[in-house]
Amino acid sequence: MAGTVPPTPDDDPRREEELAERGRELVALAVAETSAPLALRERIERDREHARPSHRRRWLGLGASFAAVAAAAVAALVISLGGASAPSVLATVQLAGPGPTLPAPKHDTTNDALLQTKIEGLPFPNWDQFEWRAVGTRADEIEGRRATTVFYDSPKGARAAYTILGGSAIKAPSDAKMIDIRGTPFYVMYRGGQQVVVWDRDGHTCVMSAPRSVPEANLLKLAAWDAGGSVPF
Amino acid sequence: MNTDARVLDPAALGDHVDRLYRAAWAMCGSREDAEDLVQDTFARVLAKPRLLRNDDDLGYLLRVLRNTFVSRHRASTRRPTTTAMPETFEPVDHSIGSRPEAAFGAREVFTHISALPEAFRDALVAVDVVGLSYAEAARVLGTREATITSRLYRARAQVARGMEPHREGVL
Repeated sequence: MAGTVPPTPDDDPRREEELAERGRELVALAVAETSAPLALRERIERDREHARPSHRRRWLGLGASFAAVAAAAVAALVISLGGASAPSVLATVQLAGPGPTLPAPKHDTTNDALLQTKIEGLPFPNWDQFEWRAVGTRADEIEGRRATTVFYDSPKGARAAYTILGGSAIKAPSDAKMIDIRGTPFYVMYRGGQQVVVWDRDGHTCVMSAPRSVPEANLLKLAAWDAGGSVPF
Repeated sequence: MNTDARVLDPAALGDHVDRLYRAAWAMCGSREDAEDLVQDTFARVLAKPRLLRNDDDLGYLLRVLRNTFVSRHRASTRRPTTTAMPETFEPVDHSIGSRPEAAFGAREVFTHISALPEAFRDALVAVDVVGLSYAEAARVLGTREATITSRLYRARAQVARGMEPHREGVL
């Protein structure tokens, strides 16, 4: 009996349609899950900075105000504290990405403004009174320096990662906004869905990242909190 | 049609890094190569002022990315081959949260996209990965919208087929 050859599964138009729809969904999921690593953004930003001098010279030629130039020079002096081989702020932020690997630090029984976790003698603050609970810790090494991160969770479920970098202070990114709080410069910037605050405590760089949903003022308040001098700065 | 030329604003390039990184990963099939490709692409674009004749910055950047990928691929075929990183070696990827299953899924999807025939891969990257409209994708790839539609359909089906668990042969 002459008959038609039954279609193989891959010749079935309905199956092809299902496959195409499934493929679209898979790609959409992969796209939603993927964003550029911070290190890449940083490399691009550095390239962009290097590509800028001709523009800068043109601006100067056009007579940019002396005040602006002076302010830029002062800012450069203020933030150029790190050495050439120092890790960058964004690389430091990335350390916190994989989350805690160690348990929550204990409270310092002699000073309830502090946790027991320290790096090179510099302790982390205890933010219990703001209802930001320390929930975990991680320890890393970057460019030969130690870096300790404490993770704090807010009652609303936001998580902040607070990293103190061992060794001398490093440069803040040039595009960060500077806010002076009680004489300490705090640098704020945004990367992806995160806001990042960078400041120095006792000669060490502190880097805190949190979702943008956390109001910037709250994050700065936490970062600048010294409990009336109980948290060393 | 907008015929006013304008200079591409380097300060706005950062807005496109995520989409170009995904596109690069889908082209290369490797995160490390994708990072290098995106950086090279931006270096090219930043090397001199770029005059655009429409508002489609992303389409322009995708075209440069694709050209850079093709040039790199040609150059690499002229160089001696090197041993690839073992499949089991997995550098820490901070760009995919902390969920290993998400990292695995995305990696597998991008690997399958990179293995597609070039024309299919280009259509899928332009529309599904970068998010261009069919018309924009057609303009970037120098083809017709209908061609994009059919290539996209086949590309999606091939990706899904590749992601299915291995099927026993049909007797």
